[in-house]
Amino acid sequence: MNRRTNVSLGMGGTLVVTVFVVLCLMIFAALSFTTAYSDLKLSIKAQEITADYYLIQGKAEEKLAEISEVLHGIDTGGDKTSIFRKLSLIDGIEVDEENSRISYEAAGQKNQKISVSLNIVIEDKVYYEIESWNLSNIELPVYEDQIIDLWEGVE
Amino acid sequence: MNKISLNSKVSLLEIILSVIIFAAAGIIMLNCFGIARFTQIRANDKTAAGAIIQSDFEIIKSLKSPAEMHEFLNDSYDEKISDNPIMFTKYFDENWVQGRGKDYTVTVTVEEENLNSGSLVSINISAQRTKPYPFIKKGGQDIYSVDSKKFFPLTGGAYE
Repeated sequence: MNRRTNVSLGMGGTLVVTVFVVLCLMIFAALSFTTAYSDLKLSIKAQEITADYYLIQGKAEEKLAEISEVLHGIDTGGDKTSIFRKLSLIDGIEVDEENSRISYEAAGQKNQKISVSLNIVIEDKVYYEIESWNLSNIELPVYEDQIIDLWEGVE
Repeated sequence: MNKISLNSKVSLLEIILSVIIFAAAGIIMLNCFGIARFTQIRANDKTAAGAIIQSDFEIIKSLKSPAEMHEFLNDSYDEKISDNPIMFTKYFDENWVQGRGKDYTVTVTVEEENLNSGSLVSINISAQRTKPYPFIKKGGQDIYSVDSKKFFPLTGGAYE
């Protein structure tokens, strides 16, 4: 005996399937774009920080050149005080005459700075030696203390 | 014997409507997938260009004199494109392999200022894509650009 089973999509069935497929593809497209855009934002952020680092590196080198020029023009016959007085005229320089040391900072816009410390050597000519050249944060994040009561093993 | 017959009562209007919806959504989706693909390529390019530029900068920073810097630039870059200011460029293929294609260029511009106590060199290294990114209008062909300076002293300057 032959039995016939009728399967019908009915009116609007095609439309529903089409809309469902389109919706799925739209979600995939949006997700792939979001992922790619997040990667791009991360790359841009890294680029900004790198560019800022090299910019402050350049500022620090520029200041070093300025100091070197001053030292080059100093007469070695002069006393130590007059040498450091001339160096203190340079903008942004901290002078430590006692330890024959000068220091300065070059700050960037991305919470990073380069701190430079130079030893001033006075021999037959006056020159500098780089004691330290450090990159650090301008402001460190403040973490709130969280006290957690731990069980000490004794009631 | 069982027979299954698909009795699709689909009107012509419904088929036309489905095709129109699919076509309209398809155009938007293809654009979206295209933008996503080239945004990802752009992000990857930034990372690759950043690594190359930083590597070159660190090498220049470690050199002792402008002569050494010029030697390095002559050796590692493909051609000198200008004398004033001094500009060198090197070419990369789509996979960022040097010397195999000209899909990307990395250009270094060097300006030397001679002082009494040494030389202050202004350096700019930038990376560009030779053809614009399809689907993306924003950003142009520039990928990465970094400016810095390096002082080469005649005396002193060494780490203790």
